[in-house]
Amino acid sequence: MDWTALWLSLHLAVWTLVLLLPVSILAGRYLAYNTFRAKVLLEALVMLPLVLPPTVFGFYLLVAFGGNSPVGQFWRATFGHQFVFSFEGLVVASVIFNLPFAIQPAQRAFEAISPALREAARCCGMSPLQSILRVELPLAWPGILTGMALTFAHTLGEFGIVLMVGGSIPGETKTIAIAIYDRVQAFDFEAANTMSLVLFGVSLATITTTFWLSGRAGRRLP
Amino acid sequence: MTGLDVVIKARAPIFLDVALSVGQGESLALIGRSGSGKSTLLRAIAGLYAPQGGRVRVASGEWYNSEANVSLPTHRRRVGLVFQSYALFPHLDTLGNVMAALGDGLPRHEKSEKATALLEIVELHRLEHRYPSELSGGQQQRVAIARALAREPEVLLLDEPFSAVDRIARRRLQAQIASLRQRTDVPIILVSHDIDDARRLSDRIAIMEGGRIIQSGAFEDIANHPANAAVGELIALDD
Repeated sequence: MDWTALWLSLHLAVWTLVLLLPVSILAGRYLAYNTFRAKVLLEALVMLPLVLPPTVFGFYLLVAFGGNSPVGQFWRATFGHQFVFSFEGLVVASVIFNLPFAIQPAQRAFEAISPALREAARCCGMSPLQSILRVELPLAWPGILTGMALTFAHTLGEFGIVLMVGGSIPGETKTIAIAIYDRVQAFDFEAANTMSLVLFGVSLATITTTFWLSGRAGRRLP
Repeated sequence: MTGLDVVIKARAPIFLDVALSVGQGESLALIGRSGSGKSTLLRAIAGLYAPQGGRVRVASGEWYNSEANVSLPTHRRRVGLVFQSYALFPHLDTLGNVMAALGDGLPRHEKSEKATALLEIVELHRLEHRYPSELSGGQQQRVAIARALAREPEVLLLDEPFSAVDRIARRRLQAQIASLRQRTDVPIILVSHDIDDARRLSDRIAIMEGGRIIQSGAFEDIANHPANAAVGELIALDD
């Protein structure tokens, strides 16, 4: 059992969640309440990681953040190592790759809130921020939570994008999904089985807990 | 004394050219067919809809004046608005819904006491820990009225408050609004398409058609001398 790889995967999933939570709330709410000309295009871009093969997506990320790109050169000049094939690069790739899993459920949750409730909040004297904190977020919370659970579980199981952008550097980019692949390549099925079972258990527990929490939070909602 | 003085002009999405005044403690019923602009007018008074011109003046000052570039956001207008669809917060219980409109200035126990007192007015204090999904339509509407009163509003706006409740709940709500009128001296505007509601609960009636008030006055005066056939027809609908 490669505990370092499991720890790295959990570390990556938590960072992805922390960065995506505010993004999913802001972007989901914006897309839910606003209509503009490029909205369909923007929604399609957000959904793109769902349909693009991870290799294609990973290739473009390598081009965008690789050593020859402005971002890559800036990163190397500032931090002394390249952006791709690093944990930081993996986190950015994971955040982008998980956008649809986090934003879509949040957007649908905000869309489900009746405009009359937002107006009622304002008539109750709540400022726009108070209305978000006291009315919109509690009502949208089950959807946001579902998005976060999907993101967490999906990050733990990411393979293609991790391999393309991160490679397989132990302790830096070698996640549990990569470690399982390595063990299978080496015909070490016992280790592969142990790690697969752990990943299976953690993912199932995450989704089950989230559905339970989301069901509790949403019990009184229409 | 005038408690509410309104001039609203709008071209889109609906035409409005309305001027009305409601005295302190007076109740005005806005009657008209669907699409006549009644609800849009209420929304403009509450600040939920931005008209193209006009003014909204209450006892404490101006909420809106297009010439002076004054337009207070809704949350800074002390307005009590009872929505047709109740619009109760489904994640809060009855007490929480009323407390939500009491602001941040009071300690929690005082807010709770005040909310309970308001729920007593609408006879719902025994159901203060029920959630909206556990209440009937009439009960939800009474919570909505208690919540509207919690803001200590300068104007109380009732947007078709009886349209989604059954006949028994309607009678009870009517009785409670009638009793409420004895307790408060805020101007009340009641929007309805039902002449019976208007007759029971208002001092004056204003008939709206195509975004304009085409006749206003006491019910008997309008019934006896309708300004035109459309008004006569509207009054006759509920006779």
